[in-house]
Amino acid sequence: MKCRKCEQRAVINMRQHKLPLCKQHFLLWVKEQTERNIRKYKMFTHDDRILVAVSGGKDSLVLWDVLHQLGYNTAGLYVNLGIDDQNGYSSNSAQFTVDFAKKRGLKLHIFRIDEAYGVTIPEISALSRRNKNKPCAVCGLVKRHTFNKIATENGFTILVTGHNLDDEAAVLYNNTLSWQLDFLRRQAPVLPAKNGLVRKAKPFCRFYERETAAYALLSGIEYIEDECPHAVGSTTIAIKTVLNQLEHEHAGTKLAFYLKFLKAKPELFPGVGTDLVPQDPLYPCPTCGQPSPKDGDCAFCRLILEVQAKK
Amino acid sequence: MTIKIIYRKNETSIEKAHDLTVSKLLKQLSLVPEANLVTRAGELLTEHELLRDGDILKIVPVISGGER
Repeated sequence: MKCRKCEQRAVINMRQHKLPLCKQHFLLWVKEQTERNIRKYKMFTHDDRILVAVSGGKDSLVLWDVLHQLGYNTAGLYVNLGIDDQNGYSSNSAQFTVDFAKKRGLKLHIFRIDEAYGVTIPEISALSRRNKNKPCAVCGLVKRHTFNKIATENGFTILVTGHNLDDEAAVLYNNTLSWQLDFLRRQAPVLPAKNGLVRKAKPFCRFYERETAAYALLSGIEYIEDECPHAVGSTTIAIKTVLNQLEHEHAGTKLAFYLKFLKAKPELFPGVGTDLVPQDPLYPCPTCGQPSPKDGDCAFCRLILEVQAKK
Repeated sequence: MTIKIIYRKNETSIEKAHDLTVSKLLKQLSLVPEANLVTRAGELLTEHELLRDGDILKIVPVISGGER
């Protein structure tokens, strides 16, 4: 199979775009498409101070690499979750991130949740009554809170994450299966800033997961290949497997599912406005000051106060 | 004809692998190309690539999960 652009041997065939590309043209294509996504969804500009949430995995490190190469003003944020099983998941992922930043001379913020809150994710998951044995839900909540805290405290104008189309399609599928209208209303490539909430964007929301992995392999970005031990057997992985089976039989299924949802959103949710996100009221949390959809302590503070009391 | 496969840190071999493409190999292993990349000596292969005797292939799963 030959590259569509230059007739060299193709290294990847993106069936959903009917586009086989060689190494050189694929790496260029990823950068061009990232820039296109950033502009299409008006994510940020070269004047923004961008905080890239990095996990040591392929998506976030590739995102940081691409944004850096595109000349954006970036720094990284690694949140150490204290998930050190027999494979040392957090320690290893931290090392990949540190090495990545060092090699490129990029600024990396490191935040340890055990130092800040006195508990690790496995401990929170074990101690919490409401979130007992739901480490992924706990982890998501802690990370979202911490990302916003660090971004706000350090004057970043936008937080970006490495969510790819497979992530977005899996969330959309899951929320549709259970008709979580509130979550469906909020799913968008950009979440605008609100009082106390930094603007968020997902520049890779139109890339398939295999494309970010291919970019990492082809450009020599080393990342943690081991999956988080808590993600093994997760709903997300089960849904991604189903979607990939559909994609295998009908190329373009995942892309159409996500893009047609974004297109249909204004009709599905007439109140979402032109930026595709609803304008719900927010209340400052009396404990941490971060905004919350409900009056009183936010979900993060309730969780941390509960587990600290039990430890 | 023998092909060595490295997948999730495990090594296996396939014998008598004549006219085997990446696509056929993945199918034989019950894997889909949407969720796995195949490399030979660090070089990424498309699904149509024909495999050769003595190839050492690494299959890289691309799915990540949990709440991100």
